[in-house]
Amino acid sequence: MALVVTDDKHYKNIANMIRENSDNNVLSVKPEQMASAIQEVADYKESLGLEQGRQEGYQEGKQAEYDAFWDAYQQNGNRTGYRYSFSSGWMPSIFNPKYKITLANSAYSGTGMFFLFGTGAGETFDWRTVADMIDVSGCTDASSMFNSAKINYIDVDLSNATNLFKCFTSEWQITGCTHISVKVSEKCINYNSTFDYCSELTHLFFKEGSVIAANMSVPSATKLVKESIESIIYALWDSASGKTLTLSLTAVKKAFETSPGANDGNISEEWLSLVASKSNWTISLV
Amino acid sequence: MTTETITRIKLTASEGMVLTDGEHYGKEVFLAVDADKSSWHEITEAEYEAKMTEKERAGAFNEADSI
Repeated sequence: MALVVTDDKHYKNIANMIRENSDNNVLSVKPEQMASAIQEVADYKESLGLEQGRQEGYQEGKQAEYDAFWDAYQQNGNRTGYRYSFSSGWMPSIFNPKYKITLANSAYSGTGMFFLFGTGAGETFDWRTVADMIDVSGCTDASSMFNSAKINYIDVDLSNATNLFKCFTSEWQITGCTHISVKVSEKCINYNSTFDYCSELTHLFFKEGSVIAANMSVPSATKLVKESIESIIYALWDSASGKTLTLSLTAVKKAFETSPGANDGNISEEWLSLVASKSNWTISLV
Repeated sequence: MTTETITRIKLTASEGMVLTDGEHYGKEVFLAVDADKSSWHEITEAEYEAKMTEKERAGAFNEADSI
């Protein structure tokens, strides 16, 4: 065997490289082990590279898939009609639009948009997580927009809508929506069944500037808080004639009760004063 | 400054009854000042429940509703 004379720093450098890049905590390497150790390092590095490449490729693939779907579904951001677009079968986990959703000021642009959205999902979808991405204010027909949708904390501007038929109804009685904040205007002439089956609704607020100009009925909302009932009545159009608002007697009794547990709100001065403020409206408690 | 006293008529259904004008229903009804009291009459709670059931069936969701 030929003897080789060399500086031992080269062996130290090789050994250090092996220690730093090995995956099996190599502490010492003898010269006769270095060749195989270097091969192990190379193999290890290759596996790391492959895994990294796989991960990066996977992420890029997912992104490409996401872009391809949403570019098509939202017409590269140009889509303005979303009739039934996120209805039955849509789950919160896949509701991640790429482009802001803006509804056109045209018929049916928002009809049934979220009908049965999220049914089957574990938790009720929180609208607030996407509120900045969705603008329904251009919608003129909001019928069944949130019908039986498993969505809570709905906050929308429907002041251009003329039709809110079944808009927030829980027709399939599965939603558990507790909070709705909405802006409406005198343009709306149809509140038929807008709030049917909303038995879990506690907070129904009509946003500042709202005007209710047509018959409205919210009898199923037996848990409405006082501020909500006040909000509804404050929004009743002062110039309306022959119109009726129907509320839950149970809700009024509780919300305006004169003392905790009295359940006498329907005869309280506060309630009677509120009713008196809209003498042009018939107000019915059922 | 003017002061007006506005009289509102309140109708209260008898025990076991519900008031209706044919379209709206209530146990207690605060009539608008220009409303016609005679358009309201009583029905039994059972009749009221039957009407609600009928309304529910009639209004069951039909995708054709929106077309």
